[in-house]
Amino acid sequence: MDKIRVLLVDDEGELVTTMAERLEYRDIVADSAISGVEALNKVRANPYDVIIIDLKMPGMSGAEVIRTIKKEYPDLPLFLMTGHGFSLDGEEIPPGIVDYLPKPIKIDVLVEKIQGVLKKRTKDHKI
Amino acid sequence: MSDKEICDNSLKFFGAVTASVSHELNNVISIIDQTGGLLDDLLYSADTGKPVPQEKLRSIVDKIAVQTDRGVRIIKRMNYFAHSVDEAVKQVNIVQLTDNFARLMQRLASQKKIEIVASFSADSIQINTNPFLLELLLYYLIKSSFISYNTERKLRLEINQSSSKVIILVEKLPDAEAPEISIIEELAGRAKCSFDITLKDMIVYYRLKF
Repeated sequence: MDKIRVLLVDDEGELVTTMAERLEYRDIVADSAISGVEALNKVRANPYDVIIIDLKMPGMSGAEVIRTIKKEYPDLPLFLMTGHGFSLDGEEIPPGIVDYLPKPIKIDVLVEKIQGVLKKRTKDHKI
Repeated sequence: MSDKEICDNSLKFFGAVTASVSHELNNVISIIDQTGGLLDDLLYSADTGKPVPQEKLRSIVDKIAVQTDRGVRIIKRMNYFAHSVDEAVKQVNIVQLTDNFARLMQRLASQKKIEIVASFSADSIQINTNPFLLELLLYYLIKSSFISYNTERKLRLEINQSSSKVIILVEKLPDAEAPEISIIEELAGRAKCSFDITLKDMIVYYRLKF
Protein backbone atom coordinates (compact mmCIF):
# COMPACT_ATOMS: atom_id res chain seq x y z
CA MET A 1 0.00 0.00 0.00
CA ASP A 2 1.29 3.48 -0.90
CA LYS A 3 2.26 5.77 1.94
CA ILE A 4 0.05 8.78 2.72
CA ARG A 5 1.50 12.05 1.38
CA VAL A 6 0.85 15.23 3.31
CA LEU A 7 1.73 18.90 2.77
CA LEU A 8 2.07 21.14 5.84
CA VAL A 9 1.81 24.90 5.20
CA ASP A 10 2.74 27.58 7.76
CA ASP A 11 5.04 30.59 7.69
CA GLU A 12 6.64 29.23 10.88
CA GLY A 13 9.21 27.10 9.06
CA GLU A 14 10.54 25.39 12.21
CA LEU A 15 7.02 24.27 13.09
CA VAL A 16 6.20 22.58 9.80
CA THR A 17 9.62 20.95 9.32
CA THR A 18 9.48 19.47 12.84
CA MET A 19 5.89 18.27 12.33
CA ALA A 20 6.92 16.77 9.00
CA GLU A 21 9.77 14.89 10.65
CA ARG A 22 7.40 13.53 13.30
CA LEU A 23 4.89 12.41 10.67
CA GLU A 24 7.71 10.53 8.90
CA TYR A 25 8.20 8.55 12.16
CA ARG A 26 4.54 7.56 11.76
CA ASP A 27 5.01 6.33 8.21
CA ILE A 28 3.51 9.38 6.55
CA VAL A 29 5.47 11.14 3.82
CA ALA A 30 5.35 14.81 4.79
CA ASP A 31 6.45 17.88 2.89
CA SER A 32 6.35 21.49 4.04
CA ALA A 33 5.86 24.98 2.58
CA ILE A 34 6.30 28.36 4.30
CA SER A 35 4.20 30.53 1.99
CA GLY A 36 1.01 30.38 -0.01
CA VAL A 37 2.88 30.59 -3.31
CA GLU A 38 5.26 27.77 -2.36
CA ALA A 39 2.28 25.68 -1.25
CA LEU A 40 0.45 26.15 -4.55
CA ASN A 41 3.59 25.27 -6.53
CA LYS A 42 4.06 22.10 -4.48
CA VAL A 43 0.39 21.08 -4.74
CA ARG A 44 0.54 21.47 -8.52
CA ALA A 45 3.73 19.41 -8.75
CA ASN A 46 3.04 16.59 -6.27
CA PRO A 47 0.22 14.14 -5.63
CA TYR A 48 -0.64 14.93 -1.99
CA ASP A 49 -3.44 13.11 -0.18
CA VAL A 50 -4.03 15.79 2.46
CA ILE A 51 -3.10 19.47 2.99
CA ILE A 52 -2.75 21.05 6.44
CA ILE A 53 -2.59 24.83 6.27
CA ASP A 54 -2.45 27.86 8.56
CA LEU A 55 -4.85 30.71 7.79
CA LYS A 56 -2.59 33.63 8.64
CA MET A 57 0.41 33.93 6.35
CA PRO A 58 2.21 36.90 4.83
CA GLY A 59 1.38 37.75 1.26
CA MET A 60 -1.07 35.21 -0.11
CA SER A 61 -3.26 34.29 2.88
CA GLY A 62 -4.22 30.75 3.83
CA ALA A 63 -7.81 31.54 2.79
CA GLU A 64 -6.67 32.51 -0.71
CA VAL A 65 -4.56 29.35 -1.03
CA ILE A 66 -7.47 27.19 0.16
CA ARG A 67 -9.84 28.76 -2.38
CA THR A 68 -7.35 28.18 -5.22
CA ILE A 69 -6.63 24.58 -4.21
CA LYS A 70 -10.34 23.82 -3.85
CA LYS A 71 -10.97 25.22 -7.34
CA GLU A 72 -8.19 23.17 -8.94
CA TYR A 73 -8.43 20.05 -6.76
CA PRO A 74 -11.97 19.93 -5.32
CA ASP A 75 -11.52 16.45 -3.78
CA LEU A 76 -8.26 17.18 -1.96
CA PRO A 77 -8.94 17.21 1.83
CA LEU A 78 -7.79 20.35 3.64
CA PHE A 79 -7.30 20.84 7.37
CA LEU A 80 -6.95 24.29 8.88
CA MET A 81 -4.39 25.01 11.61
CA THR A 82 -5.54 27.85 13.85
CA GLY A 83 -3.68 29.76 16.52
CA HIS A 84 -6.60 30.13 18.88
CA GLY A 85 -8.98 27.23 18.82
CA PHE A 86 -11.94 28.07 16.66
CA SER A 87 -11.30 31.79 16.63
CA LEU A 88 -10.13 32.97 13.23
CA ASP A 89 -9.51 36.57 14.31
CA GLY A 90 -12.34 37.85 12.13
CA GLU A 91 -11.11 36.07 9.00
CA GLU A 92 -13.75 34.59 6.76
CA ILE A 93 -13.70 30.79 6.90
CA PRO A 94 -13.15 29.43 3.41
CA PRO A 95 -15.51 26.60 2.44
CA GLY A 96 -14.30 23.04 1.94
CA ILE A 97 -12.35 22.64 5.18
CA VAL A 98 -12.54 19.14 6.68
CA ASP A 99 -11.66 20.18 10.23
CA TYR A 100 -9.88 22.74 12.41
CA LEU A 101 -6.73 21.89 14.33
CA PRO A 102 -5.95 24.30 17.19
CA LYS A 103 -2.24 24.80 17.84
CA PRO A 104 -0.32 23.28 19.55
CA ILE A 105 -1.38 20.22 17.56
CA LYS A 106 -0.99 16.76 19.09
CA ILE A 107 0.73 14.72 16.40
CA ASP A 108 -1.18 11.51 17.10
CA VAL A 109 -4.49 13.40 16.91
CA LEU A 110 -3.37 14.78 13.55
CA VAL A 111 -2.47 11.30 12.29
CA GLU A 112 -5.90 10.01 13.38
CA LYS A 113 -7.61 12.89 11.56
CA ILE A 114 -5.59 12.29 8.38
CA GLN A 115 -6.27 8.56 8.40
CA GLY A 116 -9.93 9.18 9.25
CA VAL A 117 -10.60 11.51 6.32
CA LEU A 118 -8.78 9.23 3.87
CA LYS A 119 -10.64 6.16 5.12
CA LYS A 120 -13.93 8.00 4.71
CA ARG A 121 -12.99 9.10 1.21
CA THR A 122 -12.07 5.54 0.18
CA LYS A 123 -15.39 4.32 1.58
CA ASP A 124 -17.33 7.04 -0.26
CA HIS A 125 -15.57 6.20 -3.51
CA LYS A 126 -16.46 2.50 -3.14
CA ILE A 127 -20.17 3.41 -2.68
CA MET B 1 -12.35 62.85 19.51
CA SER B 2 -14.07 62.55 22.88
CA ASP B 3 -12.56 60.86 25.93
CA LYS B 4 -14.94 57.95 25.37
CA GLU B 5 -13.79 57.58 21.74
CA ILE B 6 -10.16 57.68 22.87
CA CYS B 7 -10.96 55.04 25.46
CA ASP B 8 -12.76 52.80 22.90
CA ASN B 9 -9.96 53.13 20.37
CA SER B 10 -7.32 52.51 23.04
CA LEU B 11 -9.07 49.30 24.00
CA LYS B 12 -9.23 48.17 20.35
CA PHE B 13 -5.54 48.96 19.93
CA PHE B 14 -4.62 47.11 23.11
CA GLY B 15 -6.73 44.16 21.91
CA ALA B 16 -5.05 44.12 18.49
CA VAL B 17 -1.57 44.07 20.05
CA THR B 18 -2.52 41.43 22.63
CA ALA B 19 -4.09 39.20 19.96
CA SER B 20 -1.00 39.48 17.78
CA VAL B 21 1.39 38.78 20.67
CA SER B 22 -0.62 35.83 21.97
CA HIS B 23 -0.73 34.41 18.44
CA GLU B 24 3.04 34.67 18.12
CA LEU B 25 3.60 33.17 21.58
CA ASN B 26 1.31 30.31 20.64
CA ASN B 27 3.55 29.64 17.65
CA VAL B 28 6.62 29.61 19.90
CA ILE B 29 4.93 27.16 22.28
CA SER B 30 3.81 25.01 19.33
CA ILE B 31 7.38 24.77 18.03
CA ILE B 32 8.73 23.86 21.49
CA ASP B 33 5.90 21.33 21.86
CA GLN B 34 6.67 19.69 18.49
CA THR B 35 10.42 19.73 19.17
CA GLY B 36 9.87 18.07 22.56
CA GLY B 37 7.63 15.58 20.78
CA LEU B 38 10.38 14.86 18.27
CA LEU B 39 12.76 14.14 21.17
CA ASP B 40 10.17 11.72 22.51
CA ASP B 41 9.96 10.05 19.09
CA LEU B 42 13.76 9.68 19.00
CA LEU B 43 13.83 8.17 22.51
CA TYR B 44 11.10 5.74 21.52
CA SER B 45 13.12 4.86 18.44
CA ALA B 46 16.24 4.37 20.63
CA ASP B 47 14.26 1.97 22.82
CA THR B 48 13.71 -0.19 19.76
CA GLY B 49 17.46 -0.37 19.14
CA LYS B 50 17.98 2.53 16.72
CA PRO B 51 20.70 4.81 18.17
CA VAL B 52 20.07 8.56 18.34
CA PRO B 53 22.88 10.57 16.73
CA GLN B 54 24.53 13.05 19.14
CA GLU B 55 24.26 15.91 16.59
CA LYS B 56 20.51 15.32 16.28
CA LEU B 57 20.11 15.73 20.03
CA ARG B 58 22.28 18.88 19.92
CA SER B 59 20.14 20.41 17.15
CA ILE B 60 16.96 19.73 19.16
CA VAL B 61 18.42 21.36 22.28
CA ASP B 62 19.52 24.37 20.19
CA LYS B 63 16.09 24.68 18.60
CA ILE B 64 14.38 24.71 22.02
CA ALA B 65 16.86 27.34 23.26
CA VAL B 66 16.24 29.57 20.21
CA GLN B 67 12.46 29.40 20.65
CA THR B 68 12.70 29.98 24.41
CA ASP B 69 14.77 33.14 23.77
CA ARG B 70 12.22 34.25 21.18
CA GLY B 71 9.39 33.72 23.69
CA VAL B 72 11.22 35.69 26.38
CA ARG B 73 11.79 38.60 23.96
CA ILE B 74 8.09 38.64 23.02
CA ILE B 75 7.04 38.63 26.68
CA LYS B 76 9.47 41.48 27.52
CA ARG B 77 8.11 43.56 24.63
CA MET B 78 4.52 42.95 25.73
CA ASN B 79 5.39 43.77 29.34
CA TYR B 80 7.00 47.08 28.32
CA PHE B 81 3.94 47.90 26.23
CA ALA B 82 1.52 46.95 29.05
CA HIS B 83 3.33 49.30 31.45
CA SER B 84 2.97 52.23 29.04
CA VAL B 85 -0.50 52.83 30.52
CA ASP B 86 0.87 53.19 34.08
CA GLU B 87 1.17 56.99 34.09
CA ALA B 88 -0.60 59.61 31.96
CA VAL B 89 2.44 61.75 31.23
CA LYS B 90 6.00 60.88 32.11
CA GLN B 91 9.55 61.10 30.87
CA VAL B 92 10.33 58.21 28.53
CA ASN B 93 13.18 57.08 26.34
CA ILE B 94 11.46 57.63 23.01
CA VAL B 95 14.00 55.41 21.22
CA GLN B 96 13.22 52.46 23.47
CA LEU B 97 9.46 53.07 23.21
CA THR B 98 9.50 53.36 19.41
CA ASP B 99 11.84 50.41 18.93
CA ASN B 100 9.63 48.25 21.17
CA PHE B 101 6.52 49.45 19.34
CA ALA B 102 8.05 48.72 15.91
CA ARG B 103 8.97 45.18 16.97
CA LEU B 104 5.46 44.59 18.36
CA MET B 105 3.94 45.81 15.09
CA GLN B 106 6.20 43.70 12.88
CA ARG B 107 3.99 40.60 13.01
CA LEU B 108 0.93 42.59 11.88
CA ALA B 109 3.03 44.28 9.19
CA SER B 110 4.42 40.95 7.96
CA GLN B 111 0.90 39.77 7.16
CA LYS B 112 0.85 42.55 4.55
CA LYS B 113 4.41 41.81 3.34
CA ILE B 114 5.71 44.96 5.03
CA GLU B 115 8.97 45.18 6.96
CA ILE B 116 9.20 48.01 9.49
CA VAL B 117 12.69 49.53 9.39
CA ALA B 118 13.36 51.69 12.43
CA SER B 119 16.40 53.96 12.69
CA PHE B 120 17.42 56.26 15.50
CA SER B 121 19.99 59.04 15.69
CA ALA B 122 20.82 58.14 19.32
CA ASP B 123 20.39 55.25 21.74
CA SER B 124 18.50 57.27 24.29
CA ILE B 125 16.36 60.39 23.82
CA GLN B 126 14.24 61.50 26.75
CA ILE B 127 10.93 63.30 26.16
CA ASN B 128 7.81 64.07 28.14
CA THR B 129 4.78 62.36 26.66
CA ASN B 130 1.79 60.17 27.30
CA PRO B 131 3.50 56.91 26.30
CA PHE B 132 0.36 54.89 25.60
CA LEU B 133 -1.32 57.62 23.53
CA LEU B 134 1.92 58.10 21.60
CA GLU B 135 1.90 54.36 20.79
CA LEU B 136 -1.76 54.67 19.75
CA LEU B 137 -0.85 57.60 17.52
CA LEU B 138 2.03 55.66 15.93
CA TYR B 139 -0.34 52.73 15.45
CA TYR B 140 -2.81 54.92 13.51
CA LEU B 141 -0.01 56.26 11.33
CA ILE B 142 1.53 52.86 10.60
CA LYS B 143 -1.76 50.98 10.26
CA SER B 144 -2.92 53.28 7.47
CA SER B 145 -0.08 51.80 5.36
CA PHE B 146 -1.07 48.19 6.18
CA ILE B 147 -2.64 47.43 2.82
CA SER B 148 -1.81 44.27 0.87
CA TYR B 149 1.07 44.61 -1.54
CA ASN B 150 2.12 42.02 -4.12
CA THR B 151 5.79 42.61 -3.43
CA GLU B 152 7.64 43.14 -0.18
CA ARG B 153 7.81 46.72 1.09
CA LYS B 154 9.83 48.52 3.71
CA LEU B 155 8.16 51.09 5.95
CA ARG B 156 10.65 53.53 7.48
CA LEU B 157 10.32 54.89 10.97
CA GLU B 158 12.96 57.39 12.10
CA ILE B 159 13.77 59.40 15.18
CA ASN B 160 16.02 62.42 14.76
CA GLN B 161 17.22 64.77 17.45
CA SER B 162 18.46 68.29 16.90
CA SER B 163 19.49 70.78 19.59
CA SER B 164 15.95 71.78 20.49
CA LYS B 165 13.66 69.24 18.85
CA VAL B 166 12.94 65.55 18.66
CA ILE B 167 11.25 64.44 15.47
CA ILE B 168 9.60 61.10 14.69
CA LEU B 169 9.09 60.38 11.00
CA VAL B 170 6.68 57.65 9.90
CA GLU B 171 6.69 56.80 6.22
CA LYS B 172 3.41 56.74 4.29
CA LEU B 173 3.60 53.91 1.78
CA PRO B 174 2.41 54.54 -1.79
CA ASP B 175 -1.32 53.92 -2.32
CA ALA B 176 -1.94 54.00 1.44
CA GLU B 177 -4.91 56.09 2.54
CA ALA B 178 -4.11 58.91 4.93
CA PRO B 179 -5.51 58.43 8.43
CA GLU B 180 -8.18 60.85 9.62
CA ILE B 181 -6.20 64.01 10.33
CA SER B 182 -8.52 65.31 13.07
CA ILE B 183 -7.92 62.09 15.08
CA ILE B 184 -4.17 62.30 14.54
CA GLU B 185 -4.04 65.95 15.62
CA GLU B 186 -6.11 65.21 18.72
CA LEU B 187 -3.85 62.31 19.71
CA ALA B 188 -0.72 64.33 18.96
CA GLY B 189 -1.96 67.07 21.29
CA ARG B 190 -2.58 64.53 24.06
CA ALA B 191 0.86 62.97 23.47
CA LYS B 192 2.45 66.46 23.81
CA CYS B 193 3.68 66.79 20.22
CA SER B 194 2.72 68.56 17.01
CA PHE B 195 1.83 66.81 13.77
CA ASP B 196 2.38 67.61 10.10
CA ILE B 197 3.11 65.89 6.81
CA THR B 198 6.42 66.35 5.04
CA LEU B 199 8.28 65.21 1.94
CA LYS B 200 11.82 63.82 2.21
CA ASP B 201 13.71 62.24 -0.72
CA MET B 202 10.39 62.07 -2.61
CA ILE B 203 8.82 60.03 0.21
CA VAL B 204 5.81 61.25 2.18
CA TYR B 205 6.32 61.13 5.94
CA TYR B 206 4.07 61.87 8.89
CA ARG B 207 6.07 64.02 11.28
CA LEU B 208 5.66 64.24 15.04
CA LYS B 209 7.60 67.05 16.65
CA PHE B 210 8.41 67.23 20.38
